[in-house]
Amino acid sequence: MINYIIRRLFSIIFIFFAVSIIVFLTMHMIPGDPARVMAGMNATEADVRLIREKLGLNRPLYIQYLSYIKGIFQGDLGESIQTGRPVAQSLISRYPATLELAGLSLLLAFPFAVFAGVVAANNSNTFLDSAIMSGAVFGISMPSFWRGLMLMYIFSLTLGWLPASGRGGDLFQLEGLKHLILPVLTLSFGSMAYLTRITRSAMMEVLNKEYVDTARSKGLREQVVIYKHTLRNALISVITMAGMQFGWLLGGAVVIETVFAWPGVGRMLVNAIFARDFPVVQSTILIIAISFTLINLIVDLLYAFLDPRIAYD
Amino acid sequence: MEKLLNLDSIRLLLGNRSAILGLIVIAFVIIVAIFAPYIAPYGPNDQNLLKRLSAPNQEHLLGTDGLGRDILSRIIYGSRISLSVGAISVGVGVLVAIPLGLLAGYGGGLLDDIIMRIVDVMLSFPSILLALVVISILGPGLFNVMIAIGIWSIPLFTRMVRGEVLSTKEEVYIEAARSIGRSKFTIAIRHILPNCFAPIMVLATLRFASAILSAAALSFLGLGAQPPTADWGRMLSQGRQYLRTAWWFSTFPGLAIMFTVLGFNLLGDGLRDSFDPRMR
Repeated sequence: MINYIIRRLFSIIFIFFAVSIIVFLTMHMIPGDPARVMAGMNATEADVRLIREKLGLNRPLYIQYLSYIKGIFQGDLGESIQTGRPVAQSLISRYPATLELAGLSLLLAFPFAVFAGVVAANNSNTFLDSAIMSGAVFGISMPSFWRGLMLMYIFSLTLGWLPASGRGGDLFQLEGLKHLILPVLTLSFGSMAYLTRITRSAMMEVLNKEYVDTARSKGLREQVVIYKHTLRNALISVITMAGMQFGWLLGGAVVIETVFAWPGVGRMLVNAIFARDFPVVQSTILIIAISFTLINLIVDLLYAFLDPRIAYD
Repeated sequence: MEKLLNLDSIRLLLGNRSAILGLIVIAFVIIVAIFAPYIAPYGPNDQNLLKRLSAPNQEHLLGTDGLGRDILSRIIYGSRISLSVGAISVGVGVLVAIPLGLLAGYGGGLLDDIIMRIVDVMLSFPSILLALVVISILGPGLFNVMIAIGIWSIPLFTRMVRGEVLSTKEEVYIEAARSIGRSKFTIAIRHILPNCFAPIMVLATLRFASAILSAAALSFLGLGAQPPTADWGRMLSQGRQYLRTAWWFSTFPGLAIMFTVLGFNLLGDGLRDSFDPRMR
């Protein structure tokens, strides 16, 4: 177990450096002169030179990378070309909004998905099962941004029950909560559909195991068989997928934040790609990728604790 | 090819309701895409400013957009874009991943380690983030989106091909091929690769669905198809401005995306149930 944790931590360090290299190189892979691209069409030669110097583009590549990495460890992610604001500052002020959106979406999706998946597996090949699984396949086929627009049309523009966009402040205040409902519903529905499918197939796999037959033949109540013997085992793989889903929700937030004008990092990333503001693009992508990797690490470690049968070697 | 053309699998596939439904939906979309000029009542970019934002009526069954273009016609032409995006991005993913997966799985050793670490790194970019990295380099545009989504598919296919290779390379018939002196290359191409076709088809079908969704999302953000291309994602982003006054503008392109993606997901599920005995 200790060996596994140490190996996993090493792999995280490797992934961190590899991701940082990819992200660092994005700016250098732009066809043409990156400084000119970032300066925009109407920039003067002096503007281009200024950007080149500011980003250190005239230094050797490895020196640029080393100073980039040094900056990351010192919390200095450079400055936005558009606004001149430190990128770290923008990320700190915006990342909580994205985490709030993704976290609440997963919190909403997980219990519903597990419940629906268990019900479907328990009633496999009945009408109820077909209905739940059809709903799930619709859910994974529906474009999230369209779902957002439709919810907005119904609940904000037509019924006027909920605000159409923006963040209303603190989550624990009525206004904050009201602003969260539509984006969270939009984002969580896809995960809910996906996790329902995972839960059902994990349950079906465990239900076919001999120990479940044994539990039944001992005369245990069906409820005990399902929840104590089957679900607990099936949940392990569902939790792993839920952990991965969190990463997917962080990525999905990029689109949903644009629909609902949610002030998170996703919207900042899209705007920065348009403006070719590379310091912002690089840092936002780095932060999301690293969060995703860390979450996967935590889930893997949890997994090792939850399921002692797994020998990690 | 044995596994793929196995009669039992085909019989199972034909008996699988979800696969049949998926096939019907996909066939419908393909026919619409091919015969778009004959089916569409108007050209995709024909404008009639006098009739802008008309609600669905007899003349324009699904209404018109902000420039008076017929939404039904644009959806019909848009199917061409969506199918091309799916085909090209899945094609890029598969074509790059097959040699990589074969090299990793069959070559083994250091090569395997290197390829799989690269795959791990690519997979550490969640969701459409890897595609966004590629677009931030290449710049917005439909073709760049196809390449970006193709690159994003590479690690998934590579990992799957490698897994299949690892599970077949110890089979007796591979050992037999080796013992009669077949070269590594011949064994990889003639004996191992055909075993990967069924799982590749399943994953490719499901990836086709997510490629259409991702491309639509990127176009919605303005990073994909550019005006005046009749693209479903782009239509949705234009319709968004008129959500309050013209619901049809954003409703129907979204339904078109869902319908098509649903077809591929249903077929993918059906293929998986029929071809993959572990899933039955």
